Amino acid sequence: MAFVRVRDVSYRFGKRLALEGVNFSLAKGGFAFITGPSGAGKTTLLRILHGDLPLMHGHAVVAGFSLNAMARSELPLLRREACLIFQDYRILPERTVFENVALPLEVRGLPRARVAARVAEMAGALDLAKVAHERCDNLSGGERQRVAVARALAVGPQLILADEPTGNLDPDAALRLMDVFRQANTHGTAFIVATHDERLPGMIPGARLLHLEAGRLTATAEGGDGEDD
Amino acid sequence: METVFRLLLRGLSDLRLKPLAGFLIVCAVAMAVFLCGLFSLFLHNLDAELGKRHGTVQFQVYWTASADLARVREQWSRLAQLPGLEGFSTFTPEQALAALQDSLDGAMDFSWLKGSSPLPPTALITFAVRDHSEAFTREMYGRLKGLAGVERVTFNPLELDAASSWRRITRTLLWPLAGFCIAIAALVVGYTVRLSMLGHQAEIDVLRLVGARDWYIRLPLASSGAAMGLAGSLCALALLKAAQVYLADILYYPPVWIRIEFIPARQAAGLCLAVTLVSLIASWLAARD
Repeated sequence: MAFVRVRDVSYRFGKRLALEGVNFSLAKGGFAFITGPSGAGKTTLLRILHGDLPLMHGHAVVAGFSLNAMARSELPLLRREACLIFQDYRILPERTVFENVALPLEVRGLPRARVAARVAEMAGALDLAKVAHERCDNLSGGERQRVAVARALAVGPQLILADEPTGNLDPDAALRLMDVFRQANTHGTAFIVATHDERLPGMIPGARLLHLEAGRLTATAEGGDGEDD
Repeated sequence: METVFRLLLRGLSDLRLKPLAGFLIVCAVAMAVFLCGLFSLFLHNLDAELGKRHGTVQFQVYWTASADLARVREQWSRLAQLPGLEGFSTFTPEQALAALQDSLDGAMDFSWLKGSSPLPPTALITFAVRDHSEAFTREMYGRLKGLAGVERVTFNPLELDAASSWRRITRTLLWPLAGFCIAIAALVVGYTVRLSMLGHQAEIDVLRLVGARDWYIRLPLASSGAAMGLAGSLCALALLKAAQVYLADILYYPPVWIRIEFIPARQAAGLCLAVTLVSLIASWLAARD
């Protein structure tokens, strides 16, 4: 059974059609890129999969949760399995890097020592160790982006939905981040990465490529982790 | 349980993140509660004065001149224990004679009657008028009249009517007004605290994104809201006490003789508790979708 299955999903913002009849699926531990120009519906699709926008039309299953039949009380459980990295980071500027990365671990009720160890591990992996106790409003855009990534990866979720994760990173940092993603992927975390950076899909061999145009899926390129629809 | 305590403490420690905003909220709560407290102070003192001046009924009890004084004193000590007693004055025949002489400003000399006063022992017993005042008065009248050695008991029915009327006025006007005032203060405090939670919207959103459950998001907000409510109400009580001390003697001159008293401790504690509770509920509700 597909880990992520999207069937005939459409979404409207008022009269504007943001997604129309989107179909795709992804196996557990798979990696997919969604490409397309700005306004193509990439962010909308990720937000629907994260339960951030309601499913207006169609069917979707994410990490075993049916978005059509899911109770409101199940939403936190879905979000513990499927973490979304936003383009605008969504971190807390007045809190430190440590506090931001620790947030999802604390929400899961992990003991302090384990939280501290995991945060230190993520800070090391994403080159944030030096700024771990800095408030996030003192960080650069690239550092904030890495904080958002560290927060998502810290809990080792089953699925990461990433919206333009390299949008604020220089090429070297983008390369390092994709390396971190690749490592997490080898440990079983599935990824759906929305990007308009044409170079990124080439960095993950075997990744599935989905191309959106004006809300419609116009092309798919099958990698080794994709599933037939 | 450890998580709950940690979240409650986090709510308190989060107050340091936005100290100016927190200070302004506490000031706003304090001012709203202070205004409410001033009104309560006014009502409390008005009610106390009405009670003192018009809210009582007084019985005058006359014993027979031949009554055994030792026995009468015994009855007096029992009467002094009656519930609802507002005043109790007793006069032995000698004391009654001295009081009579005083009231005549020395125009007559009763010294020749010293030791053989013809006046009976008397008592002036004052009760606060409560519910069912007529039944109470009737019952008390019968009880006093039935005491051994009592010859006559008098009271002024007009006094009873006036007391009942004032009591009705305080019941139907003053206390509903107080309730209205408290409701307004609760709304102001509630919305002030709720508005302050808008500053936490980003944090609420992020916590939802990382899979926090509702209670996990709301507990720190509720504890910081309650802390602000408590701090605001304590500041308001301190201001109210200062105002009471400043105004205490403002009406203490003839013929008014009114000394402004502070609201009773129970009322002050109730005010604090209510404000804290309203702040807690408001901040808990603020985190709704």
